Amino acid sequence: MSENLSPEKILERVANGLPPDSRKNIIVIGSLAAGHYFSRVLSHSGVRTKDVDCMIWPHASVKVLAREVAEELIDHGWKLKNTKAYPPSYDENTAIEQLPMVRLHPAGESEWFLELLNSPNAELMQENMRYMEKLKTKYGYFALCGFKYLSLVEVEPIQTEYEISVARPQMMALANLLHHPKIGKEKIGATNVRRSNKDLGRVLALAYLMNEAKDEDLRLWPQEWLGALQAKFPIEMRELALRAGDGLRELLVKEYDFGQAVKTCNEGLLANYRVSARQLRLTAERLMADVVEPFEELVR
Amino acid sequence: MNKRLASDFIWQKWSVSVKSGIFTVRDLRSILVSMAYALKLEPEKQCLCILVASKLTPARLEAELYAFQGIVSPEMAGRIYLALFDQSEEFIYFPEHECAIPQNELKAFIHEQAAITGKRSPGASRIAVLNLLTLQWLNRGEPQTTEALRQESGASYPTVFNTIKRLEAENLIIRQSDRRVSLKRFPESLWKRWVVDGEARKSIRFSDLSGQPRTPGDLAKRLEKLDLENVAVGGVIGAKYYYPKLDITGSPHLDLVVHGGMKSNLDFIRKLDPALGKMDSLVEPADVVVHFLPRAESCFIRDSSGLLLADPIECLANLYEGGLDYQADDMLLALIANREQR
Repeated sequence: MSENLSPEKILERVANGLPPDSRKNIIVIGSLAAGHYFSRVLSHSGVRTKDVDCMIWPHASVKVLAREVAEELIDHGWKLKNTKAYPPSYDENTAIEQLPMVRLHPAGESEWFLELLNSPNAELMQENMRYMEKLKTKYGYFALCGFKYLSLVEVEPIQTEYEISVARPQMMALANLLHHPKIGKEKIGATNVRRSNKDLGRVLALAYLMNEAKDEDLRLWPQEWLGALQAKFPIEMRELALRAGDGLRELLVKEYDFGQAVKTCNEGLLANYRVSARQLRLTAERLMADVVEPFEELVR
Repeated sequence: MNKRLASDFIWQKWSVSVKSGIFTVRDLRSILVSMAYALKLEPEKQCLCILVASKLTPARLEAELYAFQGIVSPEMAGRIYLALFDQSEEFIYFPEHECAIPQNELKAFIHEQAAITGKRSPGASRIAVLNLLTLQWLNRGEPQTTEALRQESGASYPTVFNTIKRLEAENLIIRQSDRRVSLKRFPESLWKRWVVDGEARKSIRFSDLSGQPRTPGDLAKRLEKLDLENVAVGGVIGAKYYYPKLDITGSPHLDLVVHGGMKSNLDFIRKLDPALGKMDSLVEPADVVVHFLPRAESCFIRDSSGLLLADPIECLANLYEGGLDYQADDMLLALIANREQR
């Protein structure tokens, strides 16, 4: 697990590495985005992260932009993060599942890496939660991964002083909830931690930090969620709103999975809070009462 | 359409009341007379009085009802009904052929009323009478009859009678020629002895278990949104409504006043904040303290934003109970001074 890092320093480093024209097309998501948003409550602690997820948007321009970004970064010494999961060579004939993601360590640093993600395409995402596209660069072929509900982070992202944007916590939370309507079996890398438990735990960590920031109010989320669904998923809006809390409800009744959520929170965004299972459960119950249930009511 | 008032339940043409602690024929006859008076004013109504936890037998009840029906007009007699509800929570006497009110609704009403006027801690009834008289004094209200005090407090005749007698012994009572009573002055010493120092008043304390306590102001706003009719805000927030100069910047906790006894339903606490848990300790600071107001009339009012507030005497008691003696003394002086200026 990496040490705590300053979100602002990483954002600056990422922005400086990008082609200037591409910065406005980058939305940082995940713990770094949360670290930036909650910088006041996390001011003395930073964030514990090892991946900086950068979504390139809008979808229509992704392939060109992604190629430019990847090439520019590699040109300036960013190093490809190779894992055992990918072969050392990758060309036009390599199956997309075999291609590496664009995961790049900044020059001279190995603590964290940048990962490029695809902006979701409504047409391609009709059936699947996840979609991959091939990306051709002068350094070879890569895979660009997109997640259906990540389009929600395109709703009013926060502009930073570094020209790149970061996703708002409420949109990341909704995207995670919709991505996991139930506890899935997929595990993270070689660990036994289920992806759904980590991502749903992230929702609770965001809610915890919202409560910690005294001037924030979770009760504004239902209306904002509704607006985002109207903008991005107008046809499925009602159905999505009614099932948004399903995964969280399941997590709350499965002690083992909830335990994993607590652990991942304490190893990530809430590393400096060391929340107990009871505290996180109460955070979840408040989230249900203040956000999820009123959200469901809005479409009933 | 059902409509619930403070002390009765209306269902179509029926007006239903609940009486507990009726043990004597004299009390039963008094109830029957009261029902007849009420029906004379509302000729379209039918009256049902449910006796709860009474020692009267169904046979005795039936005999008394039959005898009473014999002395009123046949038209009136056909509109007066009695029922008996026992400790096992079932009707053991009910006019089932005449009354079609759904029994689950009646049972809910009985439980609601039992929470308000049911068994109380020793001394709670006399406190209810004293506080009503004190409120009447503060508001320069009309002197009260014993019957009015009995109805508003939910106390028995003997309790009301004995409380007035006790106050008379302390030279606190003005009695009108028609026997109505009022207080001569604020009964400060006696009130503090009974209300503040006595053990009759009960409360339940709650604290935040999440590590992220909500402020009393936030909790009060959340309570307002729940739109409850039987839970009011007391303590510092309530006191500031009656005495805006109260010398305190923030409330140390939220005082809530539930219209009812210790057995009142407190499910609303979970809706207020799922992170609130009941405390055993009386020493550790609480985030919410729930007090109980076991009398028939709540005397709650709404402020301009719609927040339900307990009466000033209840708020004052909450301040003393919370250890805010200096602020409470100050408020008490201000309430008395305001009354004198009216």
